[in-house]
Amino acid sequence: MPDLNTCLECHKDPLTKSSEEEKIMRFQKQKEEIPWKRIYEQPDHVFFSHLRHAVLEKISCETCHGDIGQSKKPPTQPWVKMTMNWCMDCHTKTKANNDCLTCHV
Amino acid sequence: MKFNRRDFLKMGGGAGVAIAVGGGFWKWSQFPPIEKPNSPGAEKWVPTICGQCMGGCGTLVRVIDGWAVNVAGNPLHPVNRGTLCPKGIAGLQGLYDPDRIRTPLKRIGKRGEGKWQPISWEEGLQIATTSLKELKKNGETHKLVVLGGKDRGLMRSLWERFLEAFGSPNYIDEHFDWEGSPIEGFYLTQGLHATPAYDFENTQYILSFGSDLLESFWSPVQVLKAYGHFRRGRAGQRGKLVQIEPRLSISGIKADEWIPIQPGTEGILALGVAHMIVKEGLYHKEFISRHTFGFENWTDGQGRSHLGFKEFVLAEYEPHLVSKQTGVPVDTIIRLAREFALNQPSLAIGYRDRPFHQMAVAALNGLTGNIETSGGVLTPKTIPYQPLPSLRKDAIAQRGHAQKRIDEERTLPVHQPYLFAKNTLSGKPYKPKVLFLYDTNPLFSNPDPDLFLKTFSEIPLIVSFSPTLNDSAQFSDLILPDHTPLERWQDVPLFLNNGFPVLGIRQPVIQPLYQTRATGDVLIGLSRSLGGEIEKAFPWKDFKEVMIHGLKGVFDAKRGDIFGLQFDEAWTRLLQKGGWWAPSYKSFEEFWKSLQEKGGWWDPIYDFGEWDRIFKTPSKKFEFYAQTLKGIQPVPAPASRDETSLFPHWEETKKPGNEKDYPFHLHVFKTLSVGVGENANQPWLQEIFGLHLFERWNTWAEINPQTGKELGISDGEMVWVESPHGKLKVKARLYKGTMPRVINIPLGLGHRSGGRWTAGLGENPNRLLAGDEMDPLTKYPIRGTTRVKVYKVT
Repeated sequence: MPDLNTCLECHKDPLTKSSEEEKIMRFQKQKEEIPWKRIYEQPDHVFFSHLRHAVLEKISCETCHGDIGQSKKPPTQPWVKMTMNWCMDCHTKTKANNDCLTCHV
Repeated sequence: MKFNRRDFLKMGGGAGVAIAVGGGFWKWSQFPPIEKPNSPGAEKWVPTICGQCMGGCGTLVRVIDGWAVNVAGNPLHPVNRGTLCPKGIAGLQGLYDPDRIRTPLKRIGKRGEGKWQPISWEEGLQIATTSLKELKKNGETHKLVVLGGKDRGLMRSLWERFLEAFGSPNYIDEHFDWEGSPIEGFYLTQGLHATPAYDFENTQYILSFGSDLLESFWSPVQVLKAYGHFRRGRAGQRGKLVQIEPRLSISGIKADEWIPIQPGTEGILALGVAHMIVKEGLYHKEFISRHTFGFENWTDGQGRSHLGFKEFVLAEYEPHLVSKQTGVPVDTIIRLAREFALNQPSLAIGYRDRPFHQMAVAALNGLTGNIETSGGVLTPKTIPYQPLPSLRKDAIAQRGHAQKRIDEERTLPVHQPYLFAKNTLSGKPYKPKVLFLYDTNPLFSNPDPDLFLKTFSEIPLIVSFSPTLNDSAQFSDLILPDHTPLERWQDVPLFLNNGFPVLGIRQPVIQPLYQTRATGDVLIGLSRSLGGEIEKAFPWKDFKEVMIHGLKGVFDAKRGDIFGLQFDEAWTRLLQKGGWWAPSYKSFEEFWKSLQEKGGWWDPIYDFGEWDRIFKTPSKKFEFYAQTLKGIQPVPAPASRDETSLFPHWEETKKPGNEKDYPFHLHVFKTLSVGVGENANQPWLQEIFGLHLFERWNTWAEINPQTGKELGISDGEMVWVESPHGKLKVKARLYKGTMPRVINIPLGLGHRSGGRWTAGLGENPNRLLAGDEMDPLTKYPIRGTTRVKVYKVT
């Protein structure tokens, strides 16, 4: 996850009256990083690359993470259960490579 | 079956790969079309062990109405824990191969013509028995030679027993190079003729000298799972992998660093790294002083002083010299040495190169003290089989055993198929008369297959036990077809990366499809027909009974347990350490029953520090100076360097090849899917043969794009690749992962026979390799020295 400075680029001064946004200020005051809790995790024999998906193929964050830009606070549940079938469905639809070695090596 | 697939899934394992059983399936199968294709059938899941390669993964085969229809991983089997590689499910295609041999066959017409007559088992066994009786009558029992393949376990013991009772010393492991772990390196440093375990899951840094780690390792699923754990399974730690190889393989692609190197020079690079580790004092001083021999200079019993490895490697393998030979920059050599020594624990692994090069890689692990430690090189215990009862050799057999082996002149305790070939051709010490081929295909999988073709022509009777009409079976006279792995009983002993011994139980999942017979049963049958002491040596009804006999030893060993869930491992370990042993069975009957239900037995404890067990060298320590060789025939070496030839050292090829006429090095490699070619009859595996280039059903030659431009060869064009030994017409592929002066060709295709999906497809790069320059120790042909030229097909 990006560090606090990235958040502060926009949220240095409060943009809303949200209590969630205040939390960012609190962390900044205490000079601590936000202790994110990971909700999307794959087992260790699955190698996923954000670079390939988000940067090279320019797939939007919303495609896999839901309506992330519009939320008022960080999600506590994964938007979708990312099973192998779920990934392979999209690979099939977009004609991306579905070989075993693509993700499992 | 008391439990079904749902129960396995509830246990939290079980990766399933579903296949569509539809119209296409019926077309190429031999099933009669069923009347009511949609009515539900009786379903059961049978645990067994996959037989597609040496990996030994546990599988669950789904059987509906007596037909095997799906293969999934067995979540209880420690090797794969419910996962599988594509070869696993392709086993079904091996089972249902429409061109499988269905009955014993007798050759009519000339050898290799492909004309066969189906005969009965009675007739087939009769032919074999008659020829064996003839040998006995003439006192020539030693002229029976058995070439056995990737054998381990009781089938191997049974073959050796048969030969012992019959009177022939000639069991030859035709377990070729490409399928091997670097066992010679292990033998020279630790004195054990076995395969080492590499604790990948717990190591921090893997320095791979050309090892095919992520592609065609001997146990692919196990190593891929270990790789996942190595990279992502330990919070906060991500292991580093450096791949040193002449080609950008899958391991190279996934490595943190790929270091291109001149083909065949990995050994000298290892010595260059060793030099730097010694020079900078980065070696593990305590391990070296307590557990190794030959590092420092020493004086022997006669008062003569000897050079130690330390001074030797400092004097001979300076980075500049090594860089010149290998093409690897000096800075890289220095950096690798520091990284390897400072990131502990680390592992240096390689491939089955020439013995002293393997020893050089093994020496790196010795230098850093990564022997017998977590994350290092471990020595698995063997399975405690009950030994087969001693047998009496009759007078004829005793005479037979007094004869020399056909591959006499051995230096290492490794069998030497090339010597067998040469000696057969020369007739010295004698010419074999009967050859049995079991699980081996020398006419395809050996470099210089024509040498073996000529050898075969010298032998009057050749009997093959192959289930498919592969290249070697095609040249035999009699085929007594074995079952495929899904149809037979077998014990599958192996081990895990962390050294735990594992015994898988392979059982038939369906009734045999055709009139094939398990070779174990055939051997027992042959012994009956031969009678006398030979018959007495086989007091079992069939191979299953042999297995049960062997398993009693495992039961009596009072350690380990039937496969269980992963957390049970920790509990069993605690109990055993405390002197308790609480297995999940009480009687042998219960044991045997559970073995069949769960898939096998294992011993989930590794006792570190059993130095007596793991070092069987003359010094009882890890040796940098291979004293084990001193007991065997002297190694030919230049007189002045007699001493240093027992250190790991660089052996330059004596026949460097004609660089002018043959400007490229040939690098041959193995893929995961087709291996050495034994799985070429399975369409699913042919489909994934060359993933990185999307090549399938075809052999290709990888050429560097710049080189291709220079030669005027475009991507996809047909070219000739010619060595002094032969030439092949293959498809050229311009691949950036190719070094400019190297051509890479995969093994696996180019069979001359074997069925509709194998014969005549692709080309066999073994035909380009010569069998004439042999390593003096192993008598195997030296790889990596073949040179080729490439030109367009006009």
